[in-house]
Amino acid sequence: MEQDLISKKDLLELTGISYGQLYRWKRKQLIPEQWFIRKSTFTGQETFFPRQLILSRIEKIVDRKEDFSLDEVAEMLSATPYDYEISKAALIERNIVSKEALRYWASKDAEDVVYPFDRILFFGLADRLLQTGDMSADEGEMVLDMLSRDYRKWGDHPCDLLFIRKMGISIAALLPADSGFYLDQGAKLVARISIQAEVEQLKGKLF
Amino acid sequence: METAKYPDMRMQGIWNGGGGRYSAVELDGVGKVAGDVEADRFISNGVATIQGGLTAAVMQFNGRLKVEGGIAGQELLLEGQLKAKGPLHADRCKINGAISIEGDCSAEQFEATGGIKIGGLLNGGQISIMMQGPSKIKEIGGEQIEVQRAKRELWSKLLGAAVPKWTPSLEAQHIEGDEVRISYTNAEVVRGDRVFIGPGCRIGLVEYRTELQIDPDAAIREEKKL
Repeated sequence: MEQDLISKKDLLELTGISYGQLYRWKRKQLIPEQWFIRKSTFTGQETFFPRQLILSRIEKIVDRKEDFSLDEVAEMLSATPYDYEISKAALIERNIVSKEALRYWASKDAEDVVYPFDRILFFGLADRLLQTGDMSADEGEMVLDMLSRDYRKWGDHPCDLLFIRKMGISIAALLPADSGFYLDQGAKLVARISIQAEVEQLKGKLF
Repeated sequence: METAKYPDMRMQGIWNGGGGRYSAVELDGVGKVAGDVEADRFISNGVATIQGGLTAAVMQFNGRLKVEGGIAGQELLLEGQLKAKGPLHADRCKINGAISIEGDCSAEQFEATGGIKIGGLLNGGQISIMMQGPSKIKEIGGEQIEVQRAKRELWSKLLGAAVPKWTPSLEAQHIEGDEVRISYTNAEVVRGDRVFIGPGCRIGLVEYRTELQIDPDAAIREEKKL
């Protein structure tokens, strides 16, 4: 599966940003190092980017750079969740995760329990699948289990959560964001969620 | 903010130091530090080797310094020779002499007079290079990029006057910036918004957005307006 790439030149043309801005954002670590992909072309080595990731990232940077310093924007965008904790009660109060989700998956936790950022992220991901009706509450348990066991194994590499069904059986998977995959004919990809997008959205809500 | 007080390291003569977290480090004479060094201020005079990485807000290198790892800080002043594995990150780099970095290098302001060798990308806001000797940088990217020869009397005293190989010029693959002003540079590709190609340049492809000026004493194989 050929991943959808965009060349640096096309990117600048499409977004109207300049070379200087792109290099500046790279310096400030607003754009992850892994997104700079080198490929040989007839003009020598050229740089390409994962199309979807870079376009949504640039849109976010442009949106925010008026109101925040680049360092602040970098903080908001960094894929590595920072130390932000919030209590269960506040999660409901601030409508970060739905009541139903917490009733299903966090009924055993006390109201004043404080969740680390990762846990909030996992709730958010599962909640999203729950709200779209793609997944049942029981399946949510499975997704949460997998995330808490395996999410950190990818380190800082941006990854996607996949939810697959085949003949009533559901499977959750974690894949690096820039990778493709093939399923057999009977299997159906129900959802593919960018965890990084979720992280950024969540940070937007928490800030 | 850290308020913990760290020890200082002051060395003179022929010395051996240990890595670690220091408040101020001052090295005079000849010696080596075993392991990574982290300090608020780092000053090295003479000949020193750091067998690890160096992190310090303010760094002053006089003489010869070799760093076997990366370098990170806010301000770097070099008078002499620096060899490092890299990467090198600093807000402001002011270099007088010879610098050789294997990896990438980034700075908001990068001002160098001398001979520059960078094996990776030199990424800077304002980059100004005055060459006194042969320089080689794989890629340069940034906002304002300026590469030129230092005034002749500065380098004619050196080998350059006698040995053609030592005449100040830059070898690069790609140079990309908002404003690129280069002379005595051989590059495969130069791209920018406003591009000024000075004397002594040999460029494969130039791509520009709004402005291109080419000195009669420059050779360009292909130019494209974007």
